[in-house]
Amino acid sequence: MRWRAVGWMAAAVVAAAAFVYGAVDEGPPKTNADRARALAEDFACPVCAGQSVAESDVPVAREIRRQIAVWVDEGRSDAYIRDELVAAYDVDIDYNPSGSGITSLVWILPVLAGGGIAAVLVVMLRSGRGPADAQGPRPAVGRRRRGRNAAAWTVAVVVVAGAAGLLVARSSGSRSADGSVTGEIRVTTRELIFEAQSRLGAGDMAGAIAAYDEALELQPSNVEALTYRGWLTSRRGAPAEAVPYLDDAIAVDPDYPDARLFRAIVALEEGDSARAATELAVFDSLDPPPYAEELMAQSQVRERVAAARNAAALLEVDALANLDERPAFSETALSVPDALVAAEALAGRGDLLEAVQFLDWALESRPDDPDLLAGRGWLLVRSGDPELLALGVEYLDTALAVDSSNARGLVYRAFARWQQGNAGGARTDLSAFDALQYRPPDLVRLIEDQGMRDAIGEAATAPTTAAAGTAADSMLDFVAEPIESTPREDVLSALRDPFHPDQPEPLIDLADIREVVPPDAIPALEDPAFEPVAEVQWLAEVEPVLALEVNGDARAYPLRIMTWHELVNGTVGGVPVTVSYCPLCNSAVAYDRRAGDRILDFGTSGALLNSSLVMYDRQTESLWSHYTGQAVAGHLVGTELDLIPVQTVSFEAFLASHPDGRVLSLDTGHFRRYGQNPYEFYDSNNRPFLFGGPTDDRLEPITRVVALRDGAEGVVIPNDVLAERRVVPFTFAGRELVALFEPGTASALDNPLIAEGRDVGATGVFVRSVDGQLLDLSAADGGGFIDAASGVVYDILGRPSGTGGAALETVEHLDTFWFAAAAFYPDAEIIGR
Amino acid sequence: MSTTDQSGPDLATGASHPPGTTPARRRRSLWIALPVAVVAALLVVVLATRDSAFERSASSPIVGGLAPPVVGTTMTGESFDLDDWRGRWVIVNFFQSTCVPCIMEHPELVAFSERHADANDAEIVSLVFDDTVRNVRRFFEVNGGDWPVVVEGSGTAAIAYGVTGVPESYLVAPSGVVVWKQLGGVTADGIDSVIAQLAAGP
Repeated sequence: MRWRAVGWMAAAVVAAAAFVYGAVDEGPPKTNADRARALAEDFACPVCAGQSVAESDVPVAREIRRQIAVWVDEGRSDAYIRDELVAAYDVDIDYNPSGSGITSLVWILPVLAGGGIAAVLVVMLRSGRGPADAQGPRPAVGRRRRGRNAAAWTVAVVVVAGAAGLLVARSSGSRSADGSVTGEIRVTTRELIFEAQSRLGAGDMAGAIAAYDEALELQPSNVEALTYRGWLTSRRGAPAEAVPYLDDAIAVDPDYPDARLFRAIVALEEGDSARAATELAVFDSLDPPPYAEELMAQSQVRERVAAARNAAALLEVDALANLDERPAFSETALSVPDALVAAEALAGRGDLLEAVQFLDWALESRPDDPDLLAGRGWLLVRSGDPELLALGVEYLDTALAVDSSNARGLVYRAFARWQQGNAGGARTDLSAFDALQYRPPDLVRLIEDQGMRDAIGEAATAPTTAAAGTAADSMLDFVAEPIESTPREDVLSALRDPFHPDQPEPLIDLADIREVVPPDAIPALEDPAFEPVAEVQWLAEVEPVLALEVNGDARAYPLRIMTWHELVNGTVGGVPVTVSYCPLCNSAVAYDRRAGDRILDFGTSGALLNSSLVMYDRQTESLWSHYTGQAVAGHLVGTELDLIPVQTVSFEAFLASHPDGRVLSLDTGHFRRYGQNPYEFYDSNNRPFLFGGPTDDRLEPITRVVALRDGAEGVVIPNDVLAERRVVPFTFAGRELVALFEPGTASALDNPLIAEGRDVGATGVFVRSVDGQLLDLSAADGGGFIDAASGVVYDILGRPSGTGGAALETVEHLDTFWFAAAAFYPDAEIIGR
Repeated sequence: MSTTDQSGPDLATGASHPPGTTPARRRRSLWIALPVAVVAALLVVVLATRDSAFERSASSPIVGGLAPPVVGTTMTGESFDLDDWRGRWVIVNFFQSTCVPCIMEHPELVAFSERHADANDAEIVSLVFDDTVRNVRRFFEVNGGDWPVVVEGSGTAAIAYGVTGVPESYLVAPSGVVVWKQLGGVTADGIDSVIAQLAAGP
């Protein structure tokens, strides 16, 4: 008995210690940013399953994060923020459930259950003691009393536990700013900081400093207090005394912009312009809030730092110039950024030649430094002289050959190309720059100051072809000899001038084409990079990819990329191919890009025909239906492209079937929200977008179907029929075919996050025989489809498992919506209805 | 309450009795299991009779209450306050210029605006959600519409209205109460039929 008591005691001590640790360990947030971040974790993202506002990157989560930060900066309490969000989004947004109403059960039940278990244990332990003090059969009365005792104990413990549960619910649920276990320090420090701010507002600097000191006594690591304590000290004329405070603040939170800004100002006042420049660079990289930018503008610290740096650099350069024998650049204390600043300063005072010579001297030591090369090129480019400009571009090309993602090289060359009238090339460089992780602010400002974006946007004349040698090209590995498209032809454009009297007769009524966005606003990808499938970590197993195989070259095009670009021009298995996906009619098609002697590449026209993508070829600017692969207007009207079978399957299915396959890389040269679905719940609202075509009531418009076409003949199998039967043999155009269905593929048009889309399955259509032998397929237990005669199991891509022999012959078919299939093949037969 | 009034072996001394002859143990287990089962059953009933999470997201806690403030600056630089329109029906529309369903909805808003231009009994205010002013300006140049477009302060309003995505619209009655919410695009006829129903009274 004694040992047992010791055991219980030990357990109780451990539990109590754990509670105390849990309560104490979660220290109060240090800064407003910390507090906003912590709050964001307390709320559920309203549109995504299982993610908090802090984790999700859908627009609404970002908006809520931004608003929480605003509220925190306004000094609102946690309770206020919680109430505001619950008022707008309902209680489901709150991860910390309320202590009243139905959700209070969340708090009460565990305590109740714990109490119940304790009661049962007590009853068992007490009755377990029975036989030790009672020999032989016990009198019935004693047992009865014991039973009553046990019941009384149980009831008592449950009542106490229930009450405790209610208390927990009341205190935990309706969290108020000053009621939480861990909130006390936070609130007190915050109050002191408010007090300091209001004293400062009233001009009482000494009072403000006292309040900050008090706050620091409570919480020595409070970044806000450290920063402003330091700043106020420096304002009282003691920059040296301010430094320790600011350095402490930076050590605690290196990402607090205010501290960086003040440190820069203090460094400047102490004559340390290099340190000031460093702090400014960090400040710029932090994406500072508007108020900090304003402070920055008021203090004119940027200008002062630049002036000081220029002066210092010029002093050094002049000192070097006075030396009889200048030492090698690498032997001086100068860094590459120093050299660039010095060159800027020289050029700024009109000594362009001296600046050029200075950089040449630096390049002698560092011939391959991309920044120096870019800086050297830039000096020539901005001279305005066409010959010097061309020479400058050579330097920039060299810089980018060394490092294709060199920010300076990209922006300077974009500027140069723009000056040369090559808007397409400039756009390419700028979009490569936009794709960089870190974009130096001076370059961003250069682009803005020059109005470069607007200028090259408007100057869009001839679209660039895939052959254009761009910086992006050198980044592409894994592209085996891309086949170049044929050059742009000087013919009448149907994209720009569809109603010109000299246009050939179009195949459709041009009024049916609805312009939605400008041409190329949805940018097609040109010879993009691919990655080995085994190295792809960023795709969920169920995520849909377009799978195609040409001459043994298997490729997957994730819909998370296709939904933003719609077209990919490339070379697969030695064949020039365009893969296209149209989200609005959910159709995926691939075409051989060869049309007679031409090798075409395609862009998006921004217009829709029966809600489906209208493509244009960059060679003749004829208009093509993505759906039929036929040129419907312009120079090539009537030309048809050869279809290449494409299937929409899960990434997992592609990986299993093609372990050596390749996947379209996220490194597209564009910045898009890959992974998000811009057409939320489009596939369940039954409202086709901008659809003016004929409707066919045999099925709901937005029903997923498999559609096949042969000339004017068409056949359609609804996916729900396929899902039910899994295997549907049918005859079409004189061929014995079979349609297959495998569950486990997410819809790209459902949830705002594609990986979270509901399961819509994958389909495949194949010739129903191998080597002249008709197959008898049925769904296999472990997935796939088994042939009754041979026992071979095929996957949804028609490939046999193991060494099972030949793959099934794929048949061109469209995974699409009924309304589009019905519009393009009006008399299609529906199987299974 | 008493459950052990029948003679039988004690729970913890089962070893001294042949197995299978312990009705008291069975009864006691029952006695423990019963309240648990009742609580579990109650929980299931309570949860099952609530709306599913999806249905609740289609409804909105702000419908039926006074409209949250919409205060901000419009695309043309003027200040805007929703309260100035008290006494008229107002569509508070959240949108984004690059969202295709928003482009799709826009002609309906234009139609609604034109339909009510003469009577001057209904207004539209569009609020930008996660977008740039430049994009929005171009969007209105291309697609038409001459109602106020709030570009500053719209994010705060979006959170106050509980916006989850775009497009999303709210109908504010002349009394200033939010009476209707639409997830996704609206149609001019749809809004008018809601107004007609509400104007006709209960």
